[in-house]
Amino acid sequence: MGVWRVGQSAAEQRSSRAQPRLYAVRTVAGRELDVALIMEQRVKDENIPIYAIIVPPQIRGYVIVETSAAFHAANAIQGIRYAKGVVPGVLRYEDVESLLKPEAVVETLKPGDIVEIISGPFRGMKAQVVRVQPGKNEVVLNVLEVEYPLQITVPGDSVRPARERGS
Amino acid sequence: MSARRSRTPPFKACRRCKSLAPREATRCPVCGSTDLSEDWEGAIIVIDPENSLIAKKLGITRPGRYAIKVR
Repeated sequence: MGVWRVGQSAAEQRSSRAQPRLYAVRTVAGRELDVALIMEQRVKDENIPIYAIIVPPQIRGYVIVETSAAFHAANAIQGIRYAKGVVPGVLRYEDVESLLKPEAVVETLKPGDIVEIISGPFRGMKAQVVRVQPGKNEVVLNVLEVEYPLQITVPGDSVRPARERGS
Repeated sequence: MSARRSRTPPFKACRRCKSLAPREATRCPVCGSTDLSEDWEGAIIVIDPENSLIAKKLGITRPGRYAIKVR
């Protein structure tokens, strides 16, 4: 009886241990995908219980690992030159989900908003929204940092709302 | 302004199923689509979809490499 009870609690412990959690792994910026691919290979070769590896596009220098315990992530990155270590603490699923399902920027913009252009030949310049075309996922902008009026149409992914600097 | 060194990613992403295919591929190995894009961002490598909560939340049932955003 007693043995049975011990067996049950061990099974319970095992199931609670198998609960997936999200851990962040710090990497050299720009090498996130390399780290993820090496980890994937190692997980397959050595049967490490890592369920998924996420390379979030918004965050440079971090890879998110879904596993049951931090030491599995530490094992998987051991010896990888571009991996710098597992960040202590667990990430919340809601926070990571919001990284994976980015809302379309176009839908949050309105004419008159100031945006920053983040790709293409005008990268880094500020611009004012003239018109938004959500159907085409495009936005028409007036580039502010040129001496003559310049209107351009760019994809919605190429802009981000400009941050107001504190006064 | 310092120019950031950009490296060509080793994969293309399928616009239909978002899975990552080798650069040389002309067809998506998962869904067979020929609509592949080199302009993609972020990746999810699903190793064990049965135990992965993230895979379940995103509706991924097959192990593999997926892009997060495909243009």
